[in-house]
Amino acid sequence: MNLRELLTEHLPQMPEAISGIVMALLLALIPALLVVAAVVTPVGLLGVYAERRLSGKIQDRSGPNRVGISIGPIKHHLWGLGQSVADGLKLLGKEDFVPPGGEKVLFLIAPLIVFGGSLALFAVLPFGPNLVGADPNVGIFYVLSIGALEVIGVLMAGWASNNKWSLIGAMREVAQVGSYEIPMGIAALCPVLMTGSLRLSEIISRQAAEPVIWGVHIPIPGELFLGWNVFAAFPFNIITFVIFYICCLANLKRAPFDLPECESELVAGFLTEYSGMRWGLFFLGEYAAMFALSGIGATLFLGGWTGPVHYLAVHGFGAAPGGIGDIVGGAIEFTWKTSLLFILMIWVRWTLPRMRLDQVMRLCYKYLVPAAMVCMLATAAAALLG
Amino acid sequence: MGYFGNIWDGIRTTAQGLKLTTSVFARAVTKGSYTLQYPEENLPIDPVTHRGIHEYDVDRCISCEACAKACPVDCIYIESAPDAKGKPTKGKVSVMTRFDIDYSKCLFCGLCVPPCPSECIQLGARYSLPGHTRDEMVVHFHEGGYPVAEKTDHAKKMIEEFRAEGLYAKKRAERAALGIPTLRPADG
Amino acid sequence: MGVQIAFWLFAILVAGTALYAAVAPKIVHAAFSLMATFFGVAGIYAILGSDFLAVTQVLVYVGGIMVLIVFGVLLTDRVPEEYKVVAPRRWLPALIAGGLCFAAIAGALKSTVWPISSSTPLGDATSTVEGIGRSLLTDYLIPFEFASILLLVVLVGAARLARGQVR
Repeated sequence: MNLRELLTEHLPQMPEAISGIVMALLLALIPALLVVAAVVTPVGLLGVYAERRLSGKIQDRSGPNRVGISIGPIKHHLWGLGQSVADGLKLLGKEDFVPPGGEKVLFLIAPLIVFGGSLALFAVLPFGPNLVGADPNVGIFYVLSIGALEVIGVLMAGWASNNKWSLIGAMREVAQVGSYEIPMGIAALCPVLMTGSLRLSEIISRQAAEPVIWGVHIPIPGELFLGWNVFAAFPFNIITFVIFYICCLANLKRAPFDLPECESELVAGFLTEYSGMRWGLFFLGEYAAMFALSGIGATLFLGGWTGPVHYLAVHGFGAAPGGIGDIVGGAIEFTWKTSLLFILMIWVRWTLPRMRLDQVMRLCYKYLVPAAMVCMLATAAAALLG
Repeated sequence: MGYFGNIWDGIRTTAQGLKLTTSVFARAVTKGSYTLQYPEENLPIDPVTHRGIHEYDVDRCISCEACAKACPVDCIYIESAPDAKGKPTKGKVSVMTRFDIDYSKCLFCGLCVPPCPSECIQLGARYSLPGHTRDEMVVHFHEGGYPVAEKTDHAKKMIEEFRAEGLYAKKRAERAALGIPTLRPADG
Repeated sequence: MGVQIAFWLFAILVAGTALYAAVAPKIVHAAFSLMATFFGVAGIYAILGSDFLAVTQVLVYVGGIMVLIVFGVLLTDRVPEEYKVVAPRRWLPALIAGGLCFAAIAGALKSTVWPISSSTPLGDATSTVEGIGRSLLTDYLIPFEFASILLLVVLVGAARLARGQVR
């Protein structure tokens, strides 16, 4: 359109269009805020609480179990659930500063990028039958690309801190996360091969259908474990799932891959100069991403929101498809699988010692990438047969 | 082959590690962890050798100020009631008007204990003195502090003799006459 | 109309951040504003309905090339002040030369007849993924394989160069 058209036709329509856009943005923003309030915040608070209590019991001590409610006459320890809230309030009250000599704008933006990347993962998580933010045709591919966003945020943080340790941590993080995206992508490709689509809802529905393992059609409902993608090209997809899980741990910078933020070598790696709520944003982003990647793993390999509990809700209790029972059953199913993987991440963190950077790289390129290739070949063969 | 041996080693050792943490976790959950839930549970302390908050027998103190002079940080403050001439009383007739120990300075070194001729100051079993202000860190022992732990036989003998002569009650009356409250009565 | 506004927003993002990347006094700021440019381009791809291309843009450009550029920027020493020329001293010749270039390119853009096909890019499919995959493996197989061989050569060469002398 040329300038004349712009001024005579489109400009008068602008206010309507702008209000339409604003309305559309608000309509898109409100579910996002709801997701943040209803999902990310409890995940963050409960995740931190679970980590501290579980790590305490693993280390033969109790975690925080005293901070509860103390409002007037109501005094109960609440088993320490208030600890996360108290810590959050403490972080909000800390001094907010930028290290002298650091880049102010980049320093301030970096936690937002990292946290935004973690939140962007929640947009495609299928919590239940209709409980999904967006179901793009390139579902799993979108998830893989969000990891790239986080890398940039960490690089920004490491550089803007004007601190050698931060920069070293950031460089290590880029090497680690960038390398582990390769076997992650190959491992995530195996469910896609079985399904024939990148779309997460189709991957889930294929796992709910009757399973076909190596060309053998088994006429039982797929929701009863056997339809899950871990069993698809038996036993190769079990290895694929393990590879995917290891790559998720590396992507999240969780132990044993926590060199970028290791507490004993680099003070806190790229997080060193962050205090108060900015550090809290990084931390919350890490726990949110833990939950989101566990959810993606559950969706790809363990059947997502279909499975035994959902089967029980639909067939046992007779819930109508699309009804409230269906949705609740699906949500419970998704939650227990994701929580299981989440707790496994915590368990692995407090079991395994930290890996050196060259060990991390060797594991990725010499062991995980060939294994993922072999598993992908096997899955392709199984997909051809079935 | 070294390659597959490495893979097997990795899997095997990871499984061993996970089994170990699971066993510790199971034991901690079922039998309880090593942590003491303070203040509901406390570590036991040796009643004789533990060096905690002082125990001081205000009635047997002769105001010689040996403990104050022995203290390396000068945290003991002693004053006794003046006699007819206005000088502070010493010896058996002295009535303590002030015996403060400032626990923000006290090292719990125990150097104040040996010089005392009547063995009336000891380091006791109490270790908890929380407060909100510095003033709460000063304990006013002249208001009738804790009875002295009978840590030695000599101390036991002296306490018995004192009690037998009824001197505890006498000292308490004298302090009451001076207006010093007895918050915790010595065994008298 | 909404699509128009979204397009203009992304276009302003792309052009603005690209301009800032060209004139920013600090190289690090320039590098990171280039990242915003790549995101804007991905947004424009998404508006056009090329979902696969948009995600690939983020994955490859932001995740790979951006990291490469930022590494290059971060690992060089701080640029001394006198080398940072933001405003050229001879601004009038620069303005004339730049203006002529701009006029030439704008004229070329305006006078070209851009072929706009009547069919939507997606056709009957709901996603471009299958179409791209199919054509990559059938019609464009040889360029695809060449590209992969090229990448392999680049990887091996970079590893060899970085390793230095073989002792």
